[in-house]
Amino acid sequence: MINDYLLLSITLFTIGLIGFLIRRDLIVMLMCLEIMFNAVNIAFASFSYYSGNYTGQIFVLFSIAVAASEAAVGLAIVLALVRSTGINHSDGIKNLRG
Amino acid sequence: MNIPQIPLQFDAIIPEIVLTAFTFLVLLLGVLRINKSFLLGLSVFFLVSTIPLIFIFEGKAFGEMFLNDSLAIYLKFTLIMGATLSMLMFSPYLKYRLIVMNESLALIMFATIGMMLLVSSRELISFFVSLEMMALSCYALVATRKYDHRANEAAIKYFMLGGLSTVIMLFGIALIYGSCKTTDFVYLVSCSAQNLELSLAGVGLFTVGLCFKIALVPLHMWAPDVYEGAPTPVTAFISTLPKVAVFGAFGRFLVEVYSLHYVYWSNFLIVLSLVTIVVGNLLALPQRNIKRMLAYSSIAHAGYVVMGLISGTSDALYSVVAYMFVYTIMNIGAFAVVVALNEENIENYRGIHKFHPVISFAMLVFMFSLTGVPPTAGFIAKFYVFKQAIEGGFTWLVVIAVLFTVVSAYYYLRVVMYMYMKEPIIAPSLIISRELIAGLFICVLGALILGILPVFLI
Repeated sequence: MINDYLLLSITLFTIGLIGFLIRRDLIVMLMCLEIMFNAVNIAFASFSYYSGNYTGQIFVLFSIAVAASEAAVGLAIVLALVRSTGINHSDGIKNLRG
Repeated sequence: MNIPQIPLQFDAIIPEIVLTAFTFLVLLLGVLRINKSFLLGLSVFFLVSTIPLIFIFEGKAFGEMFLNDSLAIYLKFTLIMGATLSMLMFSPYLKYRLIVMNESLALIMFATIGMMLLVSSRELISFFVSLEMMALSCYALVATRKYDHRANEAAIKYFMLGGLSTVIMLFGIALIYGSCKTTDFVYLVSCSAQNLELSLAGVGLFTVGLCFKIALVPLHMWAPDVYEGAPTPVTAFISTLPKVAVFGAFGRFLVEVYSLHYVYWSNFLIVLSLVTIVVGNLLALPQRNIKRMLAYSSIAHAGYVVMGLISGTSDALYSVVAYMFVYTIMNIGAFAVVVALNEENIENYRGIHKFHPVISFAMLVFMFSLTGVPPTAGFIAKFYVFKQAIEGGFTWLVVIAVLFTVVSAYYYLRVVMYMYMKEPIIAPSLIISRELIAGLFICVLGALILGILPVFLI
């Protein structure tokens, strides 16, 4: 049973990772980051449920809180970027040569 | 379910609690439109006044979950000192209104609290949360100059790649938790041999996530761009202190918790440190912008630090922490000179010593120290790290590292060469303040005294 949930978690994580790497819209990239966070939450919850140990569920709460603050900071930075340059996709970021 | 009784003792965490209260006070006073330079002085005073507290409250808190031992005290002293020095570098910007003051000060203090908690945490939940506290404050710090599009680009790069590394690290933590059913380091030690594949995968992903944060070579791409785009005092902060904290916490995690897996991670670290030293030093050679040059140099220094960690003994941990201490002094000092000169192109540094002999001398000391030339602290730090690697039996690695130290002399000493041996074209103007001079003085003194009397180091 736990294998099914872990498979779901890994699939979600991969979807998020691929989305993060191939999409160019900054907001969509942020959403993919959130998908990956939730994939990890599923892994924590399933490990916790099948072992009867509650630490994983507590970790999920912390992870949700961190994901929320990460989204807040990320959206603020995207907003600042759009206001100062009008760019909202990652192809436009080329002033700093990397 | 049987819940273990944990004695509620939180003496050891008092410095962090006090600093948190001070930070909220700074945020509050910032809203009240009080004098900015007074606020800066107050923040510096708050940070410095926490230093005695760390030494007083040595011990454990919350069972074994928070540990303030001698190594953690050393790291926290480094962190607070570095945060204070980079705060002093904000002062010249007051006159020119180049930076958002209140928020920067509060964010630096929040990041410092996060890093202090990180080096003390003996438990994966608090490890993760304090790491994020540090990282989120750093992303916001890079973006403090709201209408500077270069700073915003740097911030978005830092945020996106940092967020990705966080998620990868979190997945690693989930696998570690899955293999051991605990997040407490004390219990992780005893069960790290069970479920070997799962815990190896977990530690591997965890390591990859952290390597992103300290910019080791296959994962270093963000560093030069972010360091170039961020305001210079912020660059000084984010290029040294997160590395100090992450190296301290990560080194302890590997050496003290996963010592049973030594065979696996030591080979991994050998490859990482070799590639980091080679690529970091070679890419620093063609740089014309001093902030980019220092960014690549900080990547190379991270490689040396990883090399010190390879032998996996507790002495190795001390050599790493000593290296980070010296690195903090000399790197923040070098950035302070960049702030004072207000010029990023190395070629515009020609002949500066004729106009500003003191500043040029400071830069000379920092560049020699970063290279690792004997009378400076950089030499002693490199010596300890190389000694640990040789005692671990990695002489060939040390030979390569020393060769690349010679390569690094080219790009460090080029700055000195431009300052001292070229004829000046224009007389450069300084942006400077009393506080910046004081910070520079401390850095120069530290770099020289620790080089001549290394007993203070360990």
